[in-house]
Amino acid sequence: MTLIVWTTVAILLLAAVLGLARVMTARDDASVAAVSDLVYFCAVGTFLMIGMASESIVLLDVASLAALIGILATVSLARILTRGRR
Amino acid sequence: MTLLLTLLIGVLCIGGAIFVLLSAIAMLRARDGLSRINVLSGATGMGMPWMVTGVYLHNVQVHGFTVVDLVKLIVAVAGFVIMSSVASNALGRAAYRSGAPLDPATEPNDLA
Repeated sequence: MTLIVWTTVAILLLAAVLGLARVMTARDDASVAAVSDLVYFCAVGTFLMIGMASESIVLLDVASLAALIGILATVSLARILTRGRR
Repeated sequence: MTLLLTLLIGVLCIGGAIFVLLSAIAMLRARDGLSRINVLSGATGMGMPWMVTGVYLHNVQVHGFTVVDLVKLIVAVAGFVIMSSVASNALGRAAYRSGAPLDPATEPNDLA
């Protein structure tokens, strides 16, 4: 189980670093918004894996809340991109 | 049986993470902001549901089966899939309206 957890965390961290490398070279705000979503999912996945390793019992609560609340961040980014217009 | 379940958890968790990694690689290769929003759906539509299912199976293996946990799993998976589509739609529309440069090959383009 430890091997599964740390392999998954390593892959997710690699994905986050690749996304952040993209931010360094991106020229438009939409790319930055997309990468910020990707990093959010990497953070949720890393939390799930480390929680699984430490036998936490709130993992599924956190997963369902993260799935339901994540839309707020994305929609806020969308409003920011259009400077408040719909 | 336990070995089989552990193997399944491993495939789900590592496979889900590989989907997220493939989304990140696709973001490096995409040529405009709208394509990057589009390739994100690989991470949200497949990667995260797989990882949550792996976590659920581990939960069943350690604590046993309960209906409440199954409902939480269904809410999480449905949330990730629905959120992915709705949020990507809103973000893509906002990106277009904010004047982000598009790939010249974008066609059809009903918002133009």
